[in-house]
Amino acid sequence: MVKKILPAGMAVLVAAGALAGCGTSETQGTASGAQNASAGGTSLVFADTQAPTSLDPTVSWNSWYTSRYGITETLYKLNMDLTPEPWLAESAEAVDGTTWRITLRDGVTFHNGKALDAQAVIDSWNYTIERNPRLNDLLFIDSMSADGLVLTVTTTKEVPAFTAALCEPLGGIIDVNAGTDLATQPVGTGPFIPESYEVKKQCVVRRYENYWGGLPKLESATFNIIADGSALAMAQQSGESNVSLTIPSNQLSLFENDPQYVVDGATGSRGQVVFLNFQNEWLQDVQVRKALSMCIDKENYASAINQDASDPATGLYPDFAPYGGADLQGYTFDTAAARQLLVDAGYTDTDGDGILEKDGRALELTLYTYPTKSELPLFGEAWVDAAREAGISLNLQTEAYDAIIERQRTKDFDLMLVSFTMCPTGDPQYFADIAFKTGGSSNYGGYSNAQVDALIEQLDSEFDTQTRYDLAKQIQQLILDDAGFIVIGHAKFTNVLDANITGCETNPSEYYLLTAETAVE
Amino acid sequence: MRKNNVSYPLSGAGKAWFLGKQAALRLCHIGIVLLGITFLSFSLLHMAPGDPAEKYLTGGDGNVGLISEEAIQAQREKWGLDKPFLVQYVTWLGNALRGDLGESFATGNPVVTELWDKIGPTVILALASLFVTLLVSIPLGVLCAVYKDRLLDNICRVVSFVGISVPSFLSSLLLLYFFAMKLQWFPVISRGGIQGLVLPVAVLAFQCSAKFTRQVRAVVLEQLHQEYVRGAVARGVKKSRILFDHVLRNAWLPIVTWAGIYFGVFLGGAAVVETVFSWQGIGQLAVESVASKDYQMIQGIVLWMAVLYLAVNFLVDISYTFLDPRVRLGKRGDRL
Repeated sequence: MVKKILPAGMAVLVAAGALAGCGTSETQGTASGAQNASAGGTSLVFADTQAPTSLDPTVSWNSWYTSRYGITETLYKLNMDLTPEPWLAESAEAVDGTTWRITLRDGVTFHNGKALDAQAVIDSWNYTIERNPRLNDLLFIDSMSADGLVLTVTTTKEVPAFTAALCEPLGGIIDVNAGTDLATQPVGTGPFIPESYEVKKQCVVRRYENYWGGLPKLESATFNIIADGSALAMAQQSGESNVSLTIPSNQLSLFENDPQYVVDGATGSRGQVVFLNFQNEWLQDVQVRKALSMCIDKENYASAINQDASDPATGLYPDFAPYGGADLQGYTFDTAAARQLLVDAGYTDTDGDGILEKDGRALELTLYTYPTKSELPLFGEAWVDAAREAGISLNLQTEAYDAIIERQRTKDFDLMLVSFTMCPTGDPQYFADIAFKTGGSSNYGGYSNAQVDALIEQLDSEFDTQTRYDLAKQIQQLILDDAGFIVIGHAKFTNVLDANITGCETNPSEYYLLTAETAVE
Repeated sequence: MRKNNVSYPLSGAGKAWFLGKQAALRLCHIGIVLLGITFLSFSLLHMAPGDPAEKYLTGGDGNVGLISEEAIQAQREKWGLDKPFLVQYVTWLGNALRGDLGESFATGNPVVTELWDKIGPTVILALASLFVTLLVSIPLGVLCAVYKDRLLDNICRVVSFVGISVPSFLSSLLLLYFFAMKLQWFPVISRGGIQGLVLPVAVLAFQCSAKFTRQVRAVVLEQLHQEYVRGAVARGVKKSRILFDHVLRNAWLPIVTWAGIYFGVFLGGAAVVETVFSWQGIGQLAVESVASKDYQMIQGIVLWMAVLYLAVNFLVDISYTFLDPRVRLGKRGDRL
């Protein structure tokens, strides 16, 4: 019997091997790309845990990837401090409150050679808005007209942050009349042309020889998807990847002191935000909110717990932004002072268990968070310990992200610690509108402050950039005085690169990666 | 009185009628099981918190405020999620019976196409893992039984405990660390190909062999203690002949049953191993689909797995006809 089975089994293995052999060339291709790069060639291999669902930039969030892959470009782009600057556009001026005149850069062509003009932008945006309404939730376009390279846009309301909204990759310009399959061959204006795409597996791009910004330095690039963070780090170490995106913070120490690699991090606007439920009786007391704020050791959380994968926040917006809270008056970590604050407000520990009480009830709150952002539960645990010292009993509940979203909807929480992109287009108005404003769509805790609302109204119609920054700071200070929201810090986007790679800076917006300047020295 | 408890050989026509009836009954059972499984999974998906439309539009990560409620509602309507639960299920079932499993919420591609793309790598991984498992477990299990409590048996026992205890993500990462990163014999990213197949197969086969070796050992030991073995020894029959011609022949049925079960497990997708080794199979697809609440894709995967288990089970039953003469002669026809 064994004699019969053995050959049959071997035949099965050989057949399996033969079938598996279909993919051999891919593996070799990947490896050779890495070898080229390390030998000073002109190909690079990028690896990421995240992937687009297709290369169609009008669908879902795929445009973020086509932008990172160097395929599509927007009229404006965000620089390193999240302020917008012209890209495919030369300028954009507000003619009046609801009219913008955009002058496009001359000499830009799509990958198929067709010249970019205002009509192409209109076609692209109309097509995108039809398929993904999110674009018009940013631009609020009422009508558009084209005159050569001049595009005139009328908006349905005043949009002072219009140029910031133009930076969102969903507004990337594609030739919708090119007749190609957008899922695999979107025709953009970027320095790289998609060559092949396999769903959530691999994307290969090659350079666009007639790119308006000059000949891209790399000939081609491969983007591999590696879902496991540890495997991602090992692929970098083994030389299979030249650039690794979003390597878990606990793996970064493998690369930090190695001259073969550069660990390049940029703090973004993804905040670790605590929402406080103002329906909770305890949280209606500003002294309790202040005490809770004083129990968070933001510096320590960022440096020790999160291993420098985030920056502490003084205010609410990222400290590095021009409207950031670096010079605002926040809260210093001091549990003894927090306890004293509560004692002064009439809270006492009558039963000697360390937890303060008022009107015969212990000061107890439940904090909800979720594990997919691994630092959040760790922050929660540290906060629980510090709050206990201050006399507050925090009960930490870690639930699935979907359950947290459900609690946001039903307002069933006392405190909620979540990761939230606060300035996706680099402008402070967005988060102020949805979270700080009374009745805002993401004001889950029901925070309400008439002064804050008035300043947000002002921000919504203020076109002067510096005044907008000042307003954003005033709003933050009022909320800090109220202890209405707590922002622990902002996550860094950290990439690990081979040391011989240049022109691949990590941008805090997450929008950009591969550029015409990316090269191997 | 149960007519299928026959204890005598059937005539040709009688056997055909009997087999036909059994096959019809089995098909009815399969239909009921599939209906139950798909309804259960559909119910669980709808009961679980989270909105696929919201997840799709927001990217599922801290971007909730970017999307208007109107856009989310429009997406729900587009996917038919605004309809009552039973209407959704019946619609899905009707389409599935016509071979249309819908389109993936996440990618917009037909579920059948995506499943088909992933089935190939999973089948390759499953076949290779099963082959290595059988190659390792059967000889080792037999030897451990024959040399019970001797050195080899004790070593195998320890290795089995390790294999059962160590989670697959850990063994996967350890193998990657030594053989892909340090020695660079194999790639970290398994994109297919023999080289990329070795490490995931090693992990799956190691885990499975750890259990299977012990199971083979147990069943062979059980046979070795049977009267017929003592009789054969007393008659002076050679040990190797007793082992191969009698013991193994009798141990074959449970071994094939377990092999079928393991094959089903492999074909269902080894999510962790596929994820760590970037092996684009059903397991990784299942993990991604659950994370994105891709109802259509999850239903497709559940259906695939259910059909698969039933098919493997059916094939294992059929194999009894060839492996056990009693079944072939109708004495144990009730198994079919």
